[in-house]
Amino acid sequence: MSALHPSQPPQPLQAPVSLDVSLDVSLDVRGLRADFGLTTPFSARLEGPGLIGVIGPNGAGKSTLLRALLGVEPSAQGEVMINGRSLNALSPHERSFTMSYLPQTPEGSPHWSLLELSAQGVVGVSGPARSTHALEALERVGLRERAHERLGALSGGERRRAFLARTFAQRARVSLLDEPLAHLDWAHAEAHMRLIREESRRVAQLTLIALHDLNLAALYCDALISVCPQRGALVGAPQALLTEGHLSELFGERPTLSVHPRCGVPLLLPHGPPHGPPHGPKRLT
Amino acid sequence: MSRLNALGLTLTLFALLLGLTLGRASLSFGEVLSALLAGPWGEEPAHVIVWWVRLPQTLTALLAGLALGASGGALQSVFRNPLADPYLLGVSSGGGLGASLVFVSGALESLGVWSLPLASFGGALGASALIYGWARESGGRLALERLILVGVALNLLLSALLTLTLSLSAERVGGVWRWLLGRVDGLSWLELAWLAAPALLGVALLVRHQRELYLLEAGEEVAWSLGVNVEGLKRLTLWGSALAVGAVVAFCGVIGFVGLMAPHFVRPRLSGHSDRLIGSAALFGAAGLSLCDALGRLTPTPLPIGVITGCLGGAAFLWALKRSPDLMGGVR
Repeated sequence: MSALHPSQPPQPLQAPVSLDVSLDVSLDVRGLRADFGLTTPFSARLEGPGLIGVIGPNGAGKSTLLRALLGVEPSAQGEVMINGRSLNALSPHERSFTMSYLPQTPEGSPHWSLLELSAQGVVGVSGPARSTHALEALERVGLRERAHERLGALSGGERRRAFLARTFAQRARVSLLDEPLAHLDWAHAEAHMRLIREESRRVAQLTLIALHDLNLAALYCDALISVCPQRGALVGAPQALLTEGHLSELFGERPTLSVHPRCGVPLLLPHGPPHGPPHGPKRLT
Repeated sequence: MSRLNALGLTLTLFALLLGLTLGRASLSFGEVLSALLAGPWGEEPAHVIVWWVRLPQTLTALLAGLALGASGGALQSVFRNPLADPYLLGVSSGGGLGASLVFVSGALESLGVWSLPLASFGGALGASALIYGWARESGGRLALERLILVGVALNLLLSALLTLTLSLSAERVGGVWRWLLGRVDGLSWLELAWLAAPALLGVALLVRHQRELYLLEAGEEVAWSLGVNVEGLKRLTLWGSALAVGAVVAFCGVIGFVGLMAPHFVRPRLSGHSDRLIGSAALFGAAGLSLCDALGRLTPTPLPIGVITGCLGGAAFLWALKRSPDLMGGVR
């Protein structure tokens, strides 16, 4: 079992969302395992608020880990406790305040308006207040003006933001995001990452985000869970896990590492072709 | 009430009046109204026609449409599949087999007019139970892909058995054949009551859970995180739908397309009220089927209602698809 405390001091928070919510959140995982992906039992205590990246090669079990934490992985065994309470002991209503989830390929009807999509996440409130909360969430992802447009009218990247608004609207204590940055260009990916981090700090939640971009993970995450096919999942600070040794073990390939010029965190670079880059076509016709 | 539901209700009332006015005996709107006001025990022919022929028939169409629309919408939400319809889970083929077995063998003859509905209701629920039991995984979880595949396979199997039953006794096929095409006429008030009880119970169950069914369209895991009891909701939907549609099949036979069409018609028009799909689909199912029933009486020989819904519904569906190609698509 490894203990984790966010490496950075917590940033000042905005006014708490509701008074009955304590600002600390802890996620205790004991002996969590599943038939595929997560074959080695995983135990950890994660304390938040904070943003925790879930990294690992394709097929290592990042999604399985998130689904097992959510409690929907049929083959999962072990125990997940949030703030000292077992996930299995929660009523459906309590669950909706506790866990939010964004799957890798979110589903939805093209006829839903963005307001409706965002309002799905608003739990425990109904009537006009629900719309207010939903609009706030849309505001935070920059889609408030388009609240009455249909989901089907959005581009791929906008759609990702719209689904993100639903998880924001839910304000759960723990948020599980499965590759929310997939298929986004680098600028949008970083903008999304920033949004997710801000939201996680704002509502003081523990956010677990599965992602493939290790550089964004190094720059934005307070800690990482590395899902290693051989050794099972490990928890540690980004600096401790994004090393040549661990990345070689994780991906079966030696990485080319550098250091971010401004932030000083490890940066992963492509190897490039063995004899240096080509200098353009020999002859332009 | 949303504008869409107001429209649905208006259409239903209009269809109801149309259904009371149209028919072999030509009655004016005024005659229908005075017959309605005179009460069921009036002795004039118009009173008898309105109270004992047309009103039960129109209400049958309305109830059947209500059940088919609600169940189609609910199953499409559960399966997140635009092709899901009330007959996906074997209710029609099971009901058909039950009815034809009784019809051909002459069993249950002592029950008189109740033998056919009882046999087909039993067949419908039996087929649902079979599919449900077969598709259940250990731990009681229902895997939807498995459920669809088992449903399709069992539907084919039961249909083959139905064909076999019919081919073994060619001389008695006519009655079953007529039943298979769907009908809403000829029900007594007592039969109507026996149709109404399970149908309305099933519809009420589905409408009551329409917000959860709407959340289920976001995917099972997301719905779970939003506090929906996913497995319970799936079970409730399948049984509520089997109950309502089983009753419809028992008394009206197989009326196609309404359950598929009504939710598709409603879905793009819910504008901000997507969590009211089931209620609206039920209302438009009722309006659609009663309109089809009224239209069917305009032809020289009354057409079976299943034929009308099939032709009109199919044509309307194709037309709607041409107009908005994303009618059926989900967002991925």
